[in-house]
Amino acid sequence: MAETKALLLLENFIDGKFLPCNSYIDSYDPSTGEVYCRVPNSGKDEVEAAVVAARAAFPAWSSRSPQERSQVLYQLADLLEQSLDVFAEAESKDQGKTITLARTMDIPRSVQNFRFFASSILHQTAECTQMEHQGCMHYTVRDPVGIAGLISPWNLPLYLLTWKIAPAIAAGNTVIAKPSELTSVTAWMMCKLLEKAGVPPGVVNIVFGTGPRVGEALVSHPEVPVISFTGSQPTAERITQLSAPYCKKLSLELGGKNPAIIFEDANLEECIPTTIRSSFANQGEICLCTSRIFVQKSIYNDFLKRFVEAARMWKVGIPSDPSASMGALISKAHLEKVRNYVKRACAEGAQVLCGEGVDKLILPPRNQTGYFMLPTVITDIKDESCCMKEEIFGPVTCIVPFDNEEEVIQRANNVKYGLAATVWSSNVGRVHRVAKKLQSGLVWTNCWLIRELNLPFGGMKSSGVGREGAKESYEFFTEVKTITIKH
Amino acid sequence: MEVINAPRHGSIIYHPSLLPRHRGASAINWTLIHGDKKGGFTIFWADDGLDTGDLLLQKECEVLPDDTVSTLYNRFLFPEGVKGMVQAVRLIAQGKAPRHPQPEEGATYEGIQKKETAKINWAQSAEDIHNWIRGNDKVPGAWTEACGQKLTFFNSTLNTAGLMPEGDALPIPEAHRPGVVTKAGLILFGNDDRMLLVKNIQLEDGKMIPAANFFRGADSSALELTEAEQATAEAVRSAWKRILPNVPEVEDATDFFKSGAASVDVVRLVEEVKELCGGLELENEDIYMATAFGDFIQLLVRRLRGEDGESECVIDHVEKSVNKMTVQMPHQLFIGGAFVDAEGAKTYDTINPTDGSVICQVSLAQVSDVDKAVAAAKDAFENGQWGKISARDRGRLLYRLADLMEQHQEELATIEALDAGAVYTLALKTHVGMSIQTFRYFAGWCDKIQGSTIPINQARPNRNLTLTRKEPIGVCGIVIPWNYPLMMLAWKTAACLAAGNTVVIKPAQVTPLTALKFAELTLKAGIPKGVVNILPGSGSLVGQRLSDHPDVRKIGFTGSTEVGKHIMKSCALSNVKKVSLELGGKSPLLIFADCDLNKAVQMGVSSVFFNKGENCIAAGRLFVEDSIHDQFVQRVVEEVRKMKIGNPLDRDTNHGPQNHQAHLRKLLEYCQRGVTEGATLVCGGKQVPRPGFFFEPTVFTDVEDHMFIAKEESFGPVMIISRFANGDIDGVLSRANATEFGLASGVFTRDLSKALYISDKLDAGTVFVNTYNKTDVAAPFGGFKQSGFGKDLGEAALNEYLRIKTVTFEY
Repeated sequence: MAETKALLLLENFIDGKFLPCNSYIDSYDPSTGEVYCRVPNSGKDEVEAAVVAARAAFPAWSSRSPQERSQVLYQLADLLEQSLDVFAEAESKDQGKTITLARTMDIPRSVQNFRFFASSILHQTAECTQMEHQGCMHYTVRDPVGIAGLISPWNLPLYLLTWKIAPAIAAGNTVIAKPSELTSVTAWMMCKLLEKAGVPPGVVNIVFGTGPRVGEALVSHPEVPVISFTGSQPTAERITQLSAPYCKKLSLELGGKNPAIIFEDANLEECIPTTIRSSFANQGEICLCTSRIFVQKSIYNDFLKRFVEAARMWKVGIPSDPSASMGALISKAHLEKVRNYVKRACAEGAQVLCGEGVDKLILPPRNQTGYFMLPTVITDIKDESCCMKEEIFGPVTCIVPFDNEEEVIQRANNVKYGLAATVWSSNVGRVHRVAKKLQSGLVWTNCWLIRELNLPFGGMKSSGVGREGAKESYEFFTEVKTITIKH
Repeated sequence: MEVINAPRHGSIIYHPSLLPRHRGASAINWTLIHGDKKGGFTIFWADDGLDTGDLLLQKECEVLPDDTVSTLYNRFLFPEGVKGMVQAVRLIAQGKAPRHPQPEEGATYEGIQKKETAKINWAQSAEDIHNWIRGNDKVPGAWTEACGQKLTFFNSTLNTAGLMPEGDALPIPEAHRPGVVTKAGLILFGNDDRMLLVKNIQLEDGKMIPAANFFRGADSSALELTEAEQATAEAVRSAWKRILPNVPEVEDATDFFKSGAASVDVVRLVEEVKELCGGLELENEDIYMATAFGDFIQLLVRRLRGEDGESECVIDHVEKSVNKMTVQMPHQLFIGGAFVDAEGAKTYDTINPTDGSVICQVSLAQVSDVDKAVAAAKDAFENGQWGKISARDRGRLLYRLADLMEQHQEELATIEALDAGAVYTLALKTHVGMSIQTFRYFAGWCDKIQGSTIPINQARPNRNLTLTRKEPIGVCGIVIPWNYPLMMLAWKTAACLAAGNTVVIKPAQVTPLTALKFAELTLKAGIPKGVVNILPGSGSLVGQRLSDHPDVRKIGFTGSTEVGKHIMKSCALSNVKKVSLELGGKSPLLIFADCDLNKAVQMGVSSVFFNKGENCIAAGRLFVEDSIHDQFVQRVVEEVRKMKIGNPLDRDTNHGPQNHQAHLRKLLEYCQRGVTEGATLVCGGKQVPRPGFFFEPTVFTDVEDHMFIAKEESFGPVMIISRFANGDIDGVLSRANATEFGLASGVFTRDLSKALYISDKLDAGTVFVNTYNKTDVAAPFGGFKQSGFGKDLGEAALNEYLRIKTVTFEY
């Protein structure tokens, strides 16, 4: 490998300028466990500077027409697309995900995020009503809220960051974004495209650093009235507390404990590969990943056998290996946490059918210190076990049998989360019935992760507050005003 | 002069004209009569009585073209006069009061204006006549001799822009041309042939009436109040004063809203009236309907005397004792809120299909009746309360109508059974039940009809704003079929009314009675007169005239494709009417071997035989997968044999008579043709040997695609079964879609992928999956291809009766 030993040094991007910071955090390459990059360890001062810049940029940006903002977003999408491979490599190296996934999902979707909101902003309308008997006309207009604070996670770094930046600036807001300090590289690279795309200075500001320093400064800043956060439920609690004195508008996209429900009439040819993917894609580090698989008893043994076979075929390799299905987990600490869940399951008497502790993981010598783990399938586990209740966020899935429809719905719903569920059946009546009864913001039937960006995305119960989508994000990032005119 | 000069500072006098013009009495009158553009008042040092004293001060004002003595006085001469006197006294006190000698130039002196001298001279221009009338308004009042009495005119205006002198002539012997009574008032002509408009007329007996009502006689004339009612009126007047503290005097003409009342005051007035008038409960809309105090008292007294709208309407019911109740059926045309005979008192017999007997004679509308009904609907739309009340109140009226339909549901269902042969229990649930639901559903829409605020490119440096509003279209014509007489009426009329239109409805000639009963209920519900008009009659006269009528802007039609095409053409040629058409169907139903067979048999039977097959979405063809074909046919035939044919009023009947005799004959021919072409007649195909128009439930198998019965709609209880090869999904789809119709369709299968694939590929406005005939008020209903366009039901139906206006501002 021709990598230089010099560390990559990131800088904050405020008011259209790259600014150094007086303190830095080490960032590790998950595939080797070596430090390869230094990320600004920003704090209150940098957030304050970003607020000043965002405030100054707001009047001009918000008064541009949707068409003009749309053009800028399209331009940014094109530039990002032109650099797709470079971004994909950087994302893979920084996050540990496979290059294939970064190239086919993360970066194309980031491009699509800008294009999608560039077009949807042109078609937003508000309402107009008449009250003839009172001689009144009423109409609504929507205006951008102001400075939006955006906090994005480390699992899909650029994908989820752009999913917030695009609707926020499309609606005319200016933003201060904080990507995860674990995965900041692609955000920093994107900043280099902003000027060329025509994004005026101060419209997009990125302040790198940790949640306790940057995140808290942003969330408790009185001039940032709207916070969009994707991440864990405990952090969301903290954000809610800190923002409460300012009555901020919050959008919280949190974790999941997503069930897959597989009925005996499911097409297993499709079901098994998709459920493997839904369990282990991106190392299981997607909030939508399946971690509880309920299989109808009559096909349970057959399913188990075929699923474990397929899981063993799900190749763990170094991220740059194009034949790898799964790369490294994000961090040493996270790897430990995921392994611990498997240990606890074993202690409870559950069986590990493949993966962690059962199969051997073969890695090149250089990557022995990387954060790798095999896809792991647990069975003979009780619904009350921590592995069936808590979000693991790693390549671990539990498989349990069920008898009938009513029972499985009740069990699937018996967790605090409610983000995504999958249902596998070829019976037309059943799929509609079950989907309706699941407590879940999203239900995929006979498929997984097919996203329709026009429609609301988000979870119920502890999986979050608010939804994101063409209409929902627009409404979140705007304030509506009702105007009444008597004539 | 001695008296005048006695005070230390002398005496001053207020005079309501700009002296030296109009010295003497009636100065304001003469200012107007002479058409002065400027008026005003003068304060002068008193003289010996000829208004020639030295001037102290003068104030001028503009005289507006329609000012009367009263308006000029109230607007300027009184309030400013008071201030002027104060100013004059101050000037005197300060020793600064001037004494300018009055010029003689321009001086005029006219005598006192009295009733005897206020007679109109018609040999002058319209403007001079107008000035004369307003110069005598209200005192002493300009008059003329006409219609054998002395008529005094008030509230004249020269602003006649847009008025057409169309109406009833009022001959005035001395006038250049007769006057014309129009809706806006009385149009008069000067000798220059120009028009003026008079809004109020006082009759010789002292009654004041709106000029527009001159020929309307007693019903619009004011009630004479009894002493007790006078006392009530005074109490109510005090209530108005309390509610309107800024109005110095509550007079008959005082307008509640123009005097500053807001909607909260409406509620207060309703409550005050309740206390003052022994608990009399007015509706908010009553106050919106009578906003002037005088009108309000009239309305109040009418209510107190119990003369509300309903009792005024006399309905000549046909009564029948049947189904353990007495049904009361109106049988005349319903125009402008009244049941009236058709022109020439034409009638026809409506027949009970259960035994072929005559139920009653029904008025048969003629072309001139259509014109009357459209005029009534147009007036109700343009001038009536319907367009003025709030959308929410409109919704309340429709809710009330739905409640009344519910209260009369047994009666309506019984009439439907008598007139259309509908099975009573089905009529209760569907014909009437769904009609009620439809009105409730659309009642809720009334206040939720809205447009959008749309961002557009800004015309820099200015900014733009584009709004859309959804407006009612105006007068709509609705022409409906005989299969579900009331329900078809409800599907269209509810959306039409919710959108704020007015309507002329033509029920099918053979089934007019529930529509006329519905008309009666609209009156009871308080739907304003003229909003709903119903004309039983023929398509060739009434339907044609509605399609051709220049004042009708929309036709909603349900019926045959052939007639639909004709209507569309007429709508195009007359005035490019908006049109929505719900036409014929030959709806395919696909039954796969992997279905729930019990359900498929049960639903398959009802898909064809529901409502005797008189159902536009009836499954016109069943395609059954080969491997279950024989079993399916056998089980269907078993079910059909169980069907109880009988009097529709019997509770255990599930198959009643066909709607009318001509339809029965067509069904016989249809089945004959099927047999001739070689299809297998498994059962039925014959008239039932009993009185009335009963037809046996019929099943054909081995029906090939080229046969007449495979292509054409029977609209009767005839099941047409064809088989398809096992697993040949695309083959059966192409056969199912090989029709010019596209109303509905259905599929029975348990397989998810198959169900979704087929629902994508079927070329029809509705696809039922593992069910059939499942319509709902909230789900849009309508066809593709030659089954028409435009939807009934659901939000989509509202848009059929609305038009969108785009308003763009620059600021």
